[in-house]
Amino acid sequence: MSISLEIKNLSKSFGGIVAVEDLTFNIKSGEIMGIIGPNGAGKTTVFNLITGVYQPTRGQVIYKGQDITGRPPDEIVKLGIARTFQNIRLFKNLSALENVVTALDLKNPMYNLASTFFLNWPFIPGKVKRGEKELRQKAMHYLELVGIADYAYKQASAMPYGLQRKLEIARALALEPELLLLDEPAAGMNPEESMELSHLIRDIQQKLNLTVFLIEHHMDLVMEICDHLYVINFGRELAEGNPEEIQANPAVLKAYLGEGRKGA
Amino acid sequence: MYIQGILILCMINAISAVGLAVFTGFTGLMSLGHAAFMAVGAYTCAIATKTFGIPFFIALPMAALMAGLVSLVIGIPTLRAKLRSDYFTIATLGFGEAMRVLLENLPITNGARGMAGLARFSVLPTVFLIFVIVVFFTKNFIFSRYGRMAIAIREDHIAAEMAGINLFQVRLRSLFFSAACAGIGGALMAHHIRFIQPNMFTNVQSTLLTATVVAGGMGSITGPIIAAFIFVMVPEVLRVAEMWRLVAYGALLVAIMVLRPQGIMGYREFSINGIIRYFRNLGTKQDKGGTVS
Amino acid sequence: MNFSLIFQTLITGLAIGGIYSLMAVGYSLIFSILNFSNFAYGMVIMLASFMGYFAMSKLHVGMGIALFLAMVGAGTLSFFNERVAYSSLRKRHAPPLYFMISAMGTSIFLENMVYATIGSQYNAYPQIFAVPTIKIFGASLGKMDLFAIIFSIIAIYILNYFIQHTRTGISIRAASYDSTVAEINGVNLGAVIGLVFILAGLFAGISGVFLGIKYMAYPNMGWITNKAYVAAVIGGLGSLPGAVVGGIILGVLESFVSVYVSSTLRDVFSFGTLIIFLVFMPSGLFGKYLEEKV
Ligand SMILES: Nc1ncnc2c1ncn2[C@@H]1O[C@H](COP(=O)(O)OP(=O)(O)OP(=O)(O)O)[C@@H](O)[C@H]1O
Ligand SMILES: [Mg+2]
Repeated sequence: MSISLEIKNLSKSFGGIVAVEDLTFNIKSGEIMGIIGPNGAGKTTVFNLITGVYQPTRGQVIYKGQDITGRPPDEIVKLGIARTFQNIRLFKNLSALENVVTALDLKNPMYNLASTFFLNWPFIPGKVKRGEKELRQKAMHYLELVGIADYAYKQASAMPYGLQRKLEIARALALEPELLLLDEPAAGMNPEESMELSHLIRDIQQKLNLTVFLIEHHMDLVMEICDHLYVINFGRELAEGNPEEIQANPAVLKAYLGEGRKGA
Repeated sequence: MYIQGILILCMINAISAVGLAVFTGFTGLMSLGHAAFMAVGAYTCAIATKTFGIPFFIALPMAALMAGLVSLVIGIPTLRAKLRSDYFTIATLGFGEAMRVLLENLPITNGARGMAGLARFSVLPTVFLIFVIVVFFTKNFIFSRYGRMAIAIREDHIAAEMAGINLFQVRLRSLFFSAACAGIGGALMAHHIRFIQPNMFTNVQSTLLTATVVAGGMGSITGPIIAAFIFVMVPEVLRVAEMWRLVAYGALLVAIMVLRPQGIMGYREFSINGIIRYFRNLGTKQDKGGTVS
Repeated sequence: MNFSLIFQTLITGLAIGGIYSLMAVGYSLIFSILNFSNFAYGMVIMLASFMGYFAMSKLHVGMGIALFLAMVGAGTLSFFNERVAYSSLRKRHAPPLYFMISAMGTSIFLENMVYATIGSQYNAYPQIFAVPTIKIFGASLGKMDLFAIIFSIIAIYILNYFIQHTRTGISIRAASYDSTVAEINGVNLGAVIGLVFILAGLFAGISGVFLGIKYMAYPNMGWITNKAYVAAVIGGLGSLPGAVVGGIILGVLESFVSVYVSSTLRDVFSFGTLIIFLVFMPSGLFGKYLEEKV
């Protein structure tokens, strides 16, 4: 298997606070990798560093052999990395469908600026109108994929919380990524719902041939679907291995029992 | 004649307001410097027609282009630096002030005395035609993938970036468009009043333009147009003195923010489609009840 | 180069810089606690300048009492500015854009209220010193300028003492650091914010009177009160030492630009500086520019 993402000596501090310190790990293509750690360990910060939301203080992010450290988010997305957010960031006033359509534009530009100005006449079907229609059909397909097609015309902020998380996943998928980062996709779900979500993630990963990197506090979900785990605490690496190894690792147990554990 | 004058003013203000709506309403950044772009448009058109004898229908696009280009001067550095929204607003306010002082001191603009005796090109049919064209372009722009990118930025700029949208490019494009509209508005104004002076384009003018957009609803095109018409007509009809008008606008702005920040139209448009969509949404409205927690 | 001209330019710059500092301190105080740019502040200064004018020319009181009245008046006005235009937005957690629009509305309202009721004319304060200048090192310096410099220093010193060493001052600092956390820890946020607006108003009162004495009182003073945020941005928005230093730097630079370059280009220079700072150094000399938490 080839390497999808390489993290080398990654560090980030905010003023005096060190959020992430000297992390090094790889994600292989086609696997589901999990990153776990107590609250405030720096997991979300790692996502933000990979996706260009924050600039690292030190270290490198290498994607498919290419150094993408410090590139802006929109460029990183174009290279094939998409993500969801821990504190849901949907386009709240738009419908579920429009949320997905917005993301589709990136890989499916159906028309250019000049044609919106000059070729888009009322009541006359043209390139622009055809393109828009096609995009909507495509978007519907992604909503079906995560099972929320019924909500297509509902305003995003009016959807139930769990479905908003699914909509974020649909929007990320519409960017046609190779590497998908999920930040606590099961947050706020009960055990059955999070199990159902884990099956969904597995299915999508196989259907679309994705590499998945996820943050999760629901241990049952993590152990169920992750091929590989990376554990951090106070911004530093604590352990790395497959789920069985991690479950048996005394340092991990200590960090979790010592800190208490969220979710569950 | 009197009615015509009011209608012309309404449409001129609506043109500038629609432009600003594309920027403020659809990218979430507030400008307090758009009077500067109106000024650039007004002076470009006036100098072109009066000093160089260029025909109006060529001078007008020149005015739009010039205003757009000037907007890049402030837009490129500030938008590239991805300033926080309030810092951006302060920058535009400073830019507007600086532009006005420049106009007061340039020989070609005849300084603070301004330019008088401009030809009356802004007659009702002309203004109406331009109004229709601007609204048509704006509507096409907003209801296209380009408008969608801008809306996404207004809704959540971080999520928008993570959807592959180039913040800088989209904001700059919207700013250019809005400045060009303001330039057209300014040019039409110059050839309607037939006299221009730098102090016609102060930050009060900028704020009024923003007020029109806010009152109409940030995120709507028809809203600001309606607001522009109301803002011109009501005081005209009531024959209120200029300063009392401004007193009322000021109070109105505060009242809108305190009582109804979404403005007249909110994110909606006044249109058949909107009404249809409204009813379609009613269909899916029955909630599934309790959210997952 | 002529030494006494340089010296005179410097003192003129320091005098106006002192006033800029006072304005910037008030403006920055509000910014530090509500995190938005209160554009109405300039008009509070303008009204303070009118209050001082009316006190001295109609009530025939001395400058000390006029200063006091203007401070009380501006403090009250600033307090009500917050209660009417911002407090409900704050409770709703409205975005900064709404605060700025509300502030701009207040500003337009106040300015045009003055136009409509008092009129647009320039109102000169009565003469304060019989001999207005003294000669030092060959330069003739305004006594009023010297007085303004000294008074500004004292006022800023007192404010600093208050904020650093009193219980209330500590609440203000806590609230400006993180208002939610401060509130959880028992700080009465509404009261603290009210107090901050009153303090800012007091500074508006002082600067309004000094500006009025220097430039007369008239409604169209926005061009100079806007310097408050230019100075605040140079020093770093929300930072009080920054506001003081920013004000002085701006005053001195402007003074030299108008003497040695061109007095008409002075304002272009100031606003150019503003934009350069915003773009290249948004945290100014002393401020903090926070990365948005994602
Ligand atoms: N923009 C920021 N400015 C300052 N500090 C930050 C910022 N972003 C994160 N931090 C700090 O960095 C540390 C790590 O935060 P991070 O959000 O990465 O943790 P996490 O592992 O995702 O925690 P959780 O499980 O609660 O989501 C925390 O101490 C946090 O307060
Ligand atoms: Mg997190």
